[in-house]
Amino acid sequence: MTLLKQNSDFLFGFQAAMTNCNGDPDQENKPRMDYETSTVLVSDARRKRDVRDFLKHKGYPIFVDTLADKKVPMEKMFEHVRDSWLADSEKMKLLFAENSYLAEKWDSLFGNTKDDFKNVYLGKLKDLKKKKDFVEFNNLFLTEIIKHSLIDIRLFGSAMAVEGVSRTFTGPVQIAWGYSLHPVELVKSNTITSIMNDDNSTFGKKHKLYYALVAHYGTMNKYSAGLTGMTEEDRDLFRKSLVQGLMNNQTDSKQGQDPLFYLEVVYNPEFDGYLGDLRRFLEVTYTEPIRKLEDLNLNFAKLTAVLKDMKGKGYVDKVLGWQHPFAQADHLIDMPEYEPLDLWAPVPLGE
Amino acid sequence: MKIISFHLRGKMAHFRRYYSNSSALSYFIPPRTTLVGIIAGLLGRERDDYYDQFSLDVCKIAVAACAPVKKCMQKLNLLMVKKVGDLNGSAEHHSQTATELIIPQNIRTGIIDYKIWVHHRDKKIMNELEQILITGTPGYKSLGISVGLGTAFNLGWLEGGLITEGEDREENIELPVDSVIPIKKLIGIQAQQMSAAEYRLVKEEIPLEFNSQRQITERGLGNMVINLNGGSVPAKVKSYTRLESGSFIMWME
Repeated sequence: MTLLKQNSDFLFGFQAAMTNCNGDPDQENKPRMDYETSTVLVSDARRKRDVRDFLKHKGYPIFVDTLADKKVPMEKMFEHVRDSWLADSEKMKLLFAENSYLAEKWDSLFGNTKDDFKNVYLGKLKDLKKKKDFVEFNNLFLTEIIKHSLIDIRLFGSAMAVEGVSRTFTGPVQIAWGYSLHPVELVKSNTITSIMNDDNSTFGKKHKLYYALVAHYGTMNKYSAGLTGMTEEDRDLFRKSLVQGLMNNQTDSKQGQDPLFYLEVVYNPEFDGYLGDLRRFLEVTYTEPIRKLEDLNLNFAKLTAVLKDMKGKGYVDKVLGWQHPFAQADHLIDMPEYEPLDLWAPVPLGE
Repeated sequence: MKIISFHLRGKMAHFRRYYSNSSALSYFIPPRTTLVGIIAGLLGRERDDYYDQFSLDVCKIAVAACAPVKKCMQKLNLLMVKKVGDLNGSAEHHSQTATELIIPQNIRTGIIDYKIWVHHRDKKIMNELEQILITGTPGYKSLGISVGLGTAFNLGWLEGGLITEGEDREENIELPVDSVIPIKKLIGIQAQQMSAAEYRLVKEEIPLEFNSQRQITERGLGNMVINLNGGSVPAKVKSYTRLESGSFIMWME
């Protein structure tokens, strides 16, 4: 497990055909829009939810979630994570090996027991609870194991409150709101009646878009990664979950969404910077009405030129990319050269 | 006095009004406290431990809105957090919060563009900032977090870092002011010199300074006149800063 030590800028494009890619709960769940320019908006939270849901399906424990399908308060979640670590002496030994400060504290509080951590800890818990040294140990210990155990904290950060001490971790992975690269049209929605049973039925509308090519921009930050413990393996998991998470969200309103492309500029470890929002380098031309990718041309030439410049200066380690195998790639013009990633490759199962 | 200027740009911003509660309203410009946070973040400073280092006494900051912006209201489904145990979303209901986002006139083709001027009394900090902001490449550097316009997910970027000389002057004078204008120092707007179409002026009370407990200090709030269309505003003022280039700015105080 290697901590992330390179910054990245990434660009993620997906298409939404006859779907509602992000409803606004305040507007009858109509797609989020800037009506003045007919641009559809998609929140960062939508992308993160897809990633979290997908990782959860793959068996990864996540923080903003439930325990055994029950919503539990944070303390219960912490206790569960804590006890499962304490019960696993191999994991505990590894943690102490990585973290000599924690090991020393443990020795001074609990004595030199190198086994049966759980019983030793729980046995002394009551007596120690008020001791300053213990509170400090517990804080560090919980923070450390939570970061090890919960991938969404490592990726997206979180506000946590351990034993009354709250701390906020800014996530190394930040995703900007997405927007459609072209004007979109809403499908006129007729009222739909759902019959629940003989006496009851509900009336509602389903709001959808004809077509949208939406682009999100994001960054990965090595300094924040140092604080949350995000690793290179996590980066790989994130890329795949972003693509596969979107495909796996097949609810009524999300059918018709497909990931189209992913581009990532991975900077050299010494380079402390970013290009910033890559979408400003994209140029889109279209013929209306826009109903499919073929009605658009997305030109990457400016981005390609900028990346060439950054590469020439020695700031870029590599440019990575992925395209939907069945997308009409000839409408994605002048894409920068990239090392292909297989973002459809299966994601390993969590614990 | 040495001044570093740069552009802070992005596609979306949210500078939350500190008093907004059930809805998350936004300022049109990044408040001075937000800019201090961005600068401290670039320098790699730890969260919440730099407020004294960038107090009004030692650090001067001016800002201008350079491109027309608008507001867009979106409801966000936030976690309902009434006690710390709820931070993982375990509370029964979520909180649907109306959130004001600042976006360009056209988010697809336009950008939000603020120009920032900074002078810090500490030469070491000025040198550090120079290393980070004067890059000569399309990218920007950061020893800490990536640049967010207000909130972490409103990602932006920095461009056009420059070093200039400037001189503070105290005299009552009429001149075109490039930055936002603190009302404290304003005698009057020269409305007769303005054609309505070019100006969209608003007044906002924005936070300027925190103490180390994140409380707004006694002088920590200030009223500013902002031209949302960008460009200078003819005004009669009590004090100003003249830049090498011959233009005039006013520090947020």
